[in-house]
Amino acid sequence: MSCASAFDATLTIEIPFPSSEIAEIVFRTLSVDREPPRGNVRKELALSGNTLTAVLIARDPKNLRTAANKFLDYVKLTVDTINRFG
Amino acid sequence: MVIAMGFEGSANKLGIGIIKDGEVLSNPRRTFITPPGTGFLPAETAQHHQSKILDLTEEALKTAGITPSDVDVLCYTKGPGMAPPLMSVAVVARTLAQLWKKPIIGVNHCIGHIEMGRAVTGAKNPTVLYVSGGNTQVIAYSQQRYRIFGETIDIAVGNCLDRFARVLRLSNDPSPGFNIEQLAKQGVKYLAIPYTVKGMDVSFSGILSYIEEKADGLISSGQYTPADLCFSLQETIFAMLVEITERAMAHCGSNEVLLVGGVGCNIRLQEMMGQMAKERGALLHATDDRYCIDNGAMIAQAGLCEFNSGVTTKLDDTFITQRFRTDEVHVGWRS
Repeated sequence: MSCASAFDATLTIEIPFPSSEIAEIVFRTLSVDREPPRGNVRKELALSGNTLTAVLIARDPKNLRTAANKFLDYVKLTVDTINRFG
Repeated sequence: MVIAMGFEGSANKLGIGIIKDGEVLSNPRRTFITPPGTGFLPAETAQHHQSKILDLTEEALKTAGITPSDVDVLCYTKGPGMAPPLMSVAVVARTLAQLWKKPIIGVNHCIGHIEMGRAVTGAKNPTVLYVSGGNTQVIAYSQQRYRIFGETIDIAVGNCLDRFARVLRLSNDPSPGFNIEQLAKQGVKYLAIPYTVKGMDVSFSGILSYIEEKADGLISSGQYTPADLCFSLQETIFAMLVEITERAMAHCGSNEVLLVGGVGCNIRLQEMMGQMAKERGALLHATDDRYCIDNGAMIAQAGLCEFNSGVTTKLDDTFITQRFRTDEVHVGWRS
C-alpha cells in the first residue's frame, strides 16, 4: 500500500468518526508531528470522509506496539478534547 | 483587550494561564511528583499531563471568568523540553484552536520565562540568568534576538540539584530543589567542591559526579551531614552562576539583572546575586514561585508579544521540538 519493503511489519488502524468534520480535526491535529527518529517507525495518516487511517511501518513488530499505543493515546486525547470543548 | 491563553508542559509541570491586557486572570498548575530517589521520565510525565490537561483547561477558564469565545489567541510551548509531554499539550492546543476557530502560536519556553519576568518586574533591559532543571543560560537582548552569552556546557544547574536530591533521597514534593534549599539552611561545615567556570560558560556534570561519589561515604563516616553537603553544593554552584552573570553584565555595561526559571526561586541564589548587583550599582529583579516555576501564563505572555507584532503559527507548523535555541526567535516586539 505505502512505502513498505517486503521485510517490514505494518499495522493499519482505521478509525471511523461520527462526522467528517471531527475526523478532519483529528487528522489535522495528529498529522503535524513526525515519528521520533530513534523509534524506528514510520507513520502515514490518511483521511477519507469520516474515516481516519493510520499505517505504521517498522522492521521490528515490537516497535509497532509502542507506536500504536502512543498513537491511540493521542487519538483518545484529541477525541476527549472534542467531546469536552467542542 | 487581547486575551491570550497559554499552555505549558515541557517538563513535569503542567500549567495553563490566561492573560488579558497584561493582567493574569488565572494560572493554575499541576506538578507530576515522583517518589524520593527517582526522577520523572518522559512517558509517565506525558501520561500525567494527558490525564490532567482537560480539567485544568476548564479550571483556567472558570477562574478567569471567561468563555472560549472570549479567547483571542491560543499559545503553546513549542520547545525546548521533553517530547512526549510537549506533544501531549500541543495536541490539545491544536484541537482547541480548530474547535474554537482561534489562531495559534508556538512559543519558545525560555522566551516565555524572559517575557514574564520582564512583565512582572518591570525590568527594562536586564541581563537575564535563566536557571531551571532543564536550562542554564545567561541571556542579553540585542538587535531583535535574545543572545546567549554563556550557558552550561553539559547539564543544567537544576538538574545537578535534582539528581543530588535523589542521592540523599529527599522528597520531590514540592520540588527537590526546594528541599535542598531548606536543608542547606542547617548546613554548617563547608566541603570544597570542584568549581568549574569555563570563561562565559559553566559545567556541572563533573561536580555532580564528584558529590554523588563522595556523599554516602562522607555521611556514613560522620564527617559531613546531608545539610552540610547541600550547603556546600549550593554555595559553589551559585557562586559560579553569579560569576558568569557578572561577566555578561560587564560586557554589556548592564545595570539590571533578571533571575528567571525554577532555580530562580532559591532565596540563597537571590541573596548572592543581589549582593553582586549591589556591588556593581545594579538592580536585581526576581519573581516569586508563581512565575519562576514553569507556568501557563508565561507562555501566554510571550505569545501575546508575538501576536501583537503580527505573528501567528500555521497549524501545519505547530510541531514540537526538543531543541529550540533561545536565539532562534525573531524578537519583533522589541526595537
